[in-house]
Amino acid sequence: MTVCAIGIDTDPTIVYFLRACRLQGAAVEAINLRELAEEGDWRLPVGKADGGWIRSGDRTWDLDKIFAVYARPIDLTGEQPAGVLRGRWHGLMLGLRAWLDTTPAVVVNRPSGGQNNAAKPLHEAFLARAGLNVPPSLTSCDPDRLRDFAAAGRTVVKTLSGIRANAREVTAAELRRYRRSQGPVHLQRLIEGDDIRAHVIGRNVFAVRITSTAVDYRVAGSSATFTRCELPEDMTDTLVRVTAQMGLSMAGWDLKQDRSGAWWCLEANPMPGYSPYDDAVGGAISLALLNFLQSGASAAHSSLPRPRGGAPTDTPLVRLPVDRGGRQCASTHADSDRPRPSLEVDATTLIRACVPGARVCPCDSDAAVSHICATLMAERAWIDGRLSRPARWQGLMRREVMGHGTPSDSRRFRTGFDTIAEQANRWPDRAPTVDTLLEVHERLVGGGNIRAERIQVESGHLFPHPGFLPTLLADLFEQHRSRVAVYGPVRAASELHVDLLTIHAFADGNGRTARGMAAMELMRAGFRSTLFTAVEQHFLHRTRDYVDTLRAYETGRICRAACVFGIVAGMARRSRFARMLRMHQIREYGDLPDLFLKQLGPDDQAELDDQLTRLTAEERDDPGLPESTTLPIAGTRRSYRKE
Amino acid sequence: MPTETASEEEIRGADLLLVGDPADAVIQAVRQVCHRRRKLAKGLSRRELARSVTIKCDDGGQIVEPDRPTLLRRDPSGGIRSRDETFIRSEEYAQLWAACALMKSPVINRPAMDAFLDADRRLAIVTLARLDSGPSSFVPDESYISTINIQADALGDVDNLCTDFVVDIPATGLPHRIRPSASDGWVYVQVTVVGDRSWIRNDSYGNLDWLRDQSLLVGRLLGLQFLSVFWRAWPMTFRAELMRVQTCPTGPQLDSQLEVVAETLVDLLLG
Repeated sequence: MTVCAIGIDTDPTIVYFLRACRLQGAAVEAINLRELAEEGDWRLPVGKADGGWIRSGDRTWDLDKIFAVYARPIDLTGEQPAGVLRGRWHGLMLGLRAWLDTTPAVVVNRPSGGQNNAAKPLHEAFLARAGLNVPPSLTSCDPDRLRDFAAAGRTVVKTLSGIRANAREVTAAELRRYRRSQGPVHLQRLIEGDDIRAHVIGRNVFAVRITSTAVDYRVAGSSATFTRCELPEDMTDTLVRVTAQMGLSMAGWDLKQDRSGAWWCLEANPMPGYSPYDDAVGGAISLALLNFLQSGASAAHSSLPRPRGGAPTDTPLVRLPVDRGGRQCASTHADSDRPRPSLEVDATTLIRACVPGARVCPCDSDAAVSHICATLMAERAWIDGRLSRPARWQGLMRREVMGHGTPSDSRRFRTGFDTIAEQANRWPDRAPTVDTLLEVHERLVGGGNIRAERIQVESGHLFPHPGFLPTLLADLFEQHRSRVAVYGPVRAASELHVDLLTIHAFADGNGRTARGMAAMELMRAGFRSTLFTAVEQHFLHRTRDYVDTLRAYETGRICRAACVFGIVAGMARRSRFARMLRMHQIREYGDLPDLFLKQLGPDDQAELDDQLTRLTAEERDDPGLPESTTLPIAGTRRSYRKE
Repeated sequence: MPTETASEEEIRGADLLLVGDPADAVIQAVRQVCHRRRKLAKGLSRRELARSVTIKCDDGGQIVEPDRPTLLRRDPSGGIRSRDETFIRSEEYAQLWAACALMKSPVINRPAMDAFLDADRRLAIVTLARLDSGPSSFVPDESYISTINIQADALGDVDNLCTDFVVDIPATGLPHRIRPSASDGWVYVQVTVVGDRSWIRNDSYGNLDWLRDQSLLVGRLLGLQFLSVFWRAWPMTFRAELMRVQTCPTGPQLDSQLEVVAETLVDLLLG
């Protein structure tokens, strides 16, 4: 039973889906159309014909054994120069569409489904006839009619065809410059209110409310906030019904809810780029899609002859723990039966716990993560108070810069860390971008260039192909902005940390850069002592846990949520010492604002001494902490095989 | 050379719109029939129609203005275009599809809500192949292949589908569409359908009326009122394979049937 994803390697949606499948441990095979067109061979049968195959690289797929397909057949024919390659692209796309439309396998989505989305007036007519409330529209080349429509109320202009373009508001005055030779124009009445994006997969619906002041929230960047929401039951039923009517198994619905509470439908996308919304629903869309494909494949595999047409009608609903804001967990026990995971969780505990049916399941511990993050935020307000210059901190507060490789490496890291701390302090509103990442890498490690080679570690794990990196990074920072808004800075920084390590964008120094980026994000959010050093301290004091947790995630032994939990718990453990470390700083170095000093009495001094004694004991007992003052950096570096 | 815009009054005043290449033999034949019947036929290109109609969607439903009986044919193809021109063409195509699908007047061949079959000739075969019964049983085992490496009848390269079998396959390195060789004893039959009437072009092979019914069924299943269906038939055994569906039959394909086809088209359009 083979489930595969067919698309191109620069499509962020299919890359995202494949990554999600890998995290779920699902065997989904990827067929890259670019490689296939350039170097592969194929025989794609139509209708009754059997014996189809696809050959690309050193792989050959028997099409009769493919039972479910996630297809995003993006056509790059027009991008090719005239010649054989262009002809191969053209022939491949014709054959692929014909095969996808006629194969008995489950296909999400068949190319023939939802075609009227490429003619917006027709699409809107279809939606209106299906019972949905569609905003009034006018499509014309008549300048007078267009101006009259725009003058009658707030108006949006969109493309008519399937060509993607941002919608924008237009006024009657702007339309004075319009000429018929510019082609037909599609105007639609603007609906004021929140956008809602709902993804239908089979009978599952996942909705996200987008709050933004922009007419098209896709251009709003970080000012748009994504929050999971529920749709009215009748709306859910309608979307599921109409999606099926369009011949689709999956659709991305663009809805609006106006200020009176009325629902409006803008369009249904037959090939939705769902990844920006998946984060807000805890990965539920990817999981439902995977479940749909696997269920369909199982049904097709077990009942010959295989069904024609759409997906099996008995595909089960996916029950997700999304009400708690978390992602799907393989655990099957009842919520009431679930103890809260302990902060004292190491990589071994996580690996044992992150399995189906586990009673203590950190994969499903979003509430615990949220609790930890909230606690840390409260501590930040109490401990960090008026502190504003982290670069001035000394001693134990700066243990993270005691050593990184050679003295030269260490010097660069220390100086770089101070610089990014100052920058985060000075410009807290600057959300990080790919350029920020390159700058941080340049400052902490040196280089600042995305790797061009493929990297495989000794365990066999292969990091993303360099061709994917620009897209993955751009996608990551876009998601990060949403995460900061939805989850707050602590969890967002932890996830950024984990994702940067997963992407492994550089040939060297990925760990230092990821920790530096996470620390910078925490400092941007106002953290000074509490967590300013916590990421590095987690690495320093529990090196083995830190590294093992990330490796367990990298090799698929724990899921992403468990990994994030492990990182946040590690940071929280270190934050317990933040107050004490601060006292130590005061005692040994002074040079801090006076607010806290005034509160320090004789009892506090005794407590400080006591805590420092305990800290020393803990550090001695911690297997991750070396006895020498030199960090075991060599032990954390991996041997790479570059291809 | 047609202009790029047509007056709305001219369109509104016409009894019939003939959309496509003015040199198209079918359009010329229909124009002559209209002339004989004293009906005003307005010829215009697809671009002119797309730029002349307005589509309103509101609480009152969908209204296309002007809305006249329309014969929808193909334009001569354009050639290499700039990105801007390609974009405008796409927008006009979308407008044409929507307008012709939503008009209340008769349209031949009216685009469907979910497909503009005219856009892709191969789509007709694929659409039929998806059906569980009926003509799907006549759809041959076709495959799209990256390179020719097996013994088969080939239908030329995929972008230039022709009705003649290509025996000597050019070594272009381009993908092809292929089907298995057929056993001897078959004949090549073309059935043209207009509404519920049909004509067999080469009926000298004997009684092929059973192919008429199948051709009418193909038209109904595809939602087309005017088409030519090409069969590879074994008259002795009443067996046939669907070779091709021509959604826009040309003058040479219709040959001596052109005049009666034109008369029937006008009957359908004007009621």
